[in-house]
Formats: sequence, structure tokens, C-alpha cells
Amino acid sequence: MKITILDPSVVEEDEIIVKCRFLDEDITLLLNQLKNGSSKMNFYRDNKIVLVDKKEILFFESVDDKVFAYTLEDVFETKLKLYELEQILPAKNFFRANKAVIVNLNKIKSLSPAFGGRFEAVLKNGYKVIISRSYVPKLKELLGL
Amino acid sequence: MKEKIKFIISLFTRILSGIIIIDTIILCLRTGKNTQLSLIDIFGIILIAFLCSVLYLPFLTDKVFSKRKMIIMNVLYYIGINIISLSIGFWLKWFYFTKLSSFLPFELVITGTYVLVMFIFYKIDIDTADKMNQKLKEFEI
Repeated sequence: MKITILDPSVVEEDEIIVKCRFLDEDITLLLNQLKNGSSKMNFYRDNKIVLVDKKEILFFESVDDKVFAYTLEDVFETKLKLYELEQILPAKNFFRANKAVIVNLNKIKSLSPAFGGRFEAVLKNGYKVIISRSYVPKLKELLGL
Repeated sequence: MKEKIKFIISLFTRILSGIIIIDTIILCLRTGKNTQLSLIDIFGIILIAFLCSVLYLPFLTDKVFSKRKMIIMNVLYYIGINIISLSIGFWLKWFYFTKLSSFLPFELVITGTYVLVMFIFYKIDIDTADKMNQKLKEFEI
């Protein structure tokens, strides 16, 4: 990828222009990182803003119109909706497990079948998440199956 | 919807195969290997397989259920397939409720087919889970 840095005139505002034929995963990730500043995300805990690395997150869960992020030790709240998180999070690591949950693939300890083509994912904190039938193909694709 | 139709077709073929396998075994044991089935009997078998497959549609939801609810759903499905099979079987005079020796083998076909089909699906899911767990291990390395 070619990177060009231009010197703007005095009246011009600093600007980043992305020239591409289509927004592939790498460019989207880069853009998201630019938008969000880093691989860290803003969360809320006890009315305070906390920065947490995306890699630390086990899963996101939507409960009563609120979205929570779970790490090994903590639970944080985010103001983003699950569909917004899906756009921000790296698609090769995070996937929708069911209507209310987004899981970090790297934090899955094991998978076992559940009734009716569903699967149960045991996460590294021992928490169990059901992967709905319609989201199983995406998981398989992520795992290269 | 496309995925659901695909699943129902696959369930239909498995139920149909299951009924034919279990039915053949039981008929061979009960009435001998020269037993013949009429076209109406074959139509009945196809109808049962079709209705039992369609009955599974409400279970193909993305809602997350607890294990208890899933067991209840399984029991409801089993009751549903019994109602369908017994109704069609009674209508086609395959058995009589008053004659236990005709009713029990028929119930055995229903239960046997149910167990066989569920076992096939469970085995497929176990294999898929094994493959995914293997890939997860590779990811960790």
C-alpha cells in the first residue's frame, strides 16, 4: 500500500483521505483504529471512563437495552449498540454468537453441541454462551472450516 | 429462510430413511421378509416424514433457550411426532389402539426413528464441534 503525506496550505484543515477501490478488512480496521484512536475502547464503570484493550474482552452482551463488555475480571458498560460494535471490532476475532452476544474467538476455551444445531461455547472465564444456528456458519468460516 | 428450508429438506430425508430402515426391520421380524407395502402405505410414510419435518420449523429459531427449555422443546416435538404418526397410522389402519400387539411395534417404529434421527444430528454436531475445537487449538498455537 502506497502512503503519501502532503503538506496542506495554511487555511486547510488536517485531513486523511483514503484512496481505495473497495474497503477491505485491513483498511476498515485501519479506519476504525483511526476513528477510535487505538486498539483500546472506551467503557464505563461506576460513572468513570475506562480504557480497555479489545484483546482483553471475552464477549459483549446486550441486557435490557444496555451493552456490557466482559473481561476476565471485570464487567464494563458501553454506550454502543451491538450492531455498532460489529462495525468497529475486528471481524476476524469477534463474531455474533446470538442476537444478544458478540464473542471474542480468541477467548473461547471449547465448543460443544447443544440441541437443534446450536453450539455452546465455554469461554476462558468459564462463562457459557450459546451460538445460534444461523451464526454457526460464520464461526465455521472464521475457523477456516 | 433459505437455511431453514435446507434444514427441513435434510430432516425430511433423514426421517424418511429412518422410518424405512426401522419399519423394514420390524416388519421383517413380525410378518416375514415377503411383506408387501401398498402405494397408500408408501404415501402414508412420506406424509408422516413430511409433517414431522415441518413440525420442526418452530424449533429453528435464533432465540437462546436454557437447557431446561430445550429439553421441554424436545419432549414437545416427540409428542408432536407421536400425534402425527398415530393419527396417520390409525387412519391407514396400520394398527388398532385396542390391539396392543399391533400398537406397540408401531410405537417402536416412531420412537426408533426419533432416536435414530436425533442421534445422526447429534453425531454430526459432535464431529463439527471436534473440528472447531481442533481449529481453536491451532489458533492458540
